[in-house]
Amino acid sequence: MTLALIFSLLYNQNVIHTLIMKMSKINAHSNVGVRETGTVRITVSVPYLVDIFLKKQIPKRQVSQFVSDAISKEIPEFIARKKKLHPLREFFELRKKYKSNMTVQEIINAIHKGQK
Amino acid sequence: MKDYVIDACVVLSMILKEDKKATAFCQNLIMETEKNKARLWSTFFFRHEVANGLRYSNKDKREVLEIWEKFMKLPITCIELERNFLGSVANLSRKLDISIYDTSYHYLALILNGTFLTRDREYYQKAKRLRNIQCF
Repeated sequence: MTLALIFSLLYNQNVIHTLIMKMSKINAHSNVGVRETGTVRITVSVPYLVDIFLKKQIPKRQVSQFVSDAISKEIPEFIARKKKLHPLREFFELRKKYKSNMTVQEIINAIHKGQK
Repeated sequence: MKDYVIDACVVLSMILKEDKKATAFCQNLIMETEKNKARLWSTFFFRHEVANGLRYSNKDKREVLEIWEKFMKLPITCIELERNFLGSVANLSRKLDISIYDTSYHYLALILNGTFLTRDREYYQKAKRLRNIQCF
């Protein structure tokens, strides 16, 4: 009976979601899923000096919070950098807006106009 | 790393004129530049030529300013040829019967051992024997 209940729970994502939210006291009205709000333990490598800084400057049991905040601040900039087009591609995209019926010879004439 | 010298016509035709072959060529050039496989060079008067081309194109002031703003961000290194090089450019220009302006682009490609990219077929026909030139 208990096993059956566990299995049924495991296959019902919504029930599991609600249970975890209740357990972790997450606002039940939030639209954010557990995956986004929960925490996971990860292992990262940092330079030696960063490690010294973390040990000396950040109080014990607050390192994770500090690292997490630092990374979170970097995320919007990282996304913006990823989305930003290379200047050459950005310039090339202008053709969609400004393409005209000028021929190559007309463009050359425009460049050299006044030089002769 | 490839070195390309580009003239004002290449840049302006990138946005003012669209044909399949040129578009494909430009896409390839952009990809190479994005991946740091190519560097773009030009002469010191290149920006003036682009500005003049825009001035006499059929674009209004607002459009010209937007194009110019984006153009100024392009990763193109503009080089001023030294006095002793200008003598050689002048000789070459006289020999080919072409303007100093066009010859300077090509000469720059020759000293960088790169490729001069142009859309000026007339120049290409006169100067292709010097090599280091591609017309598309």
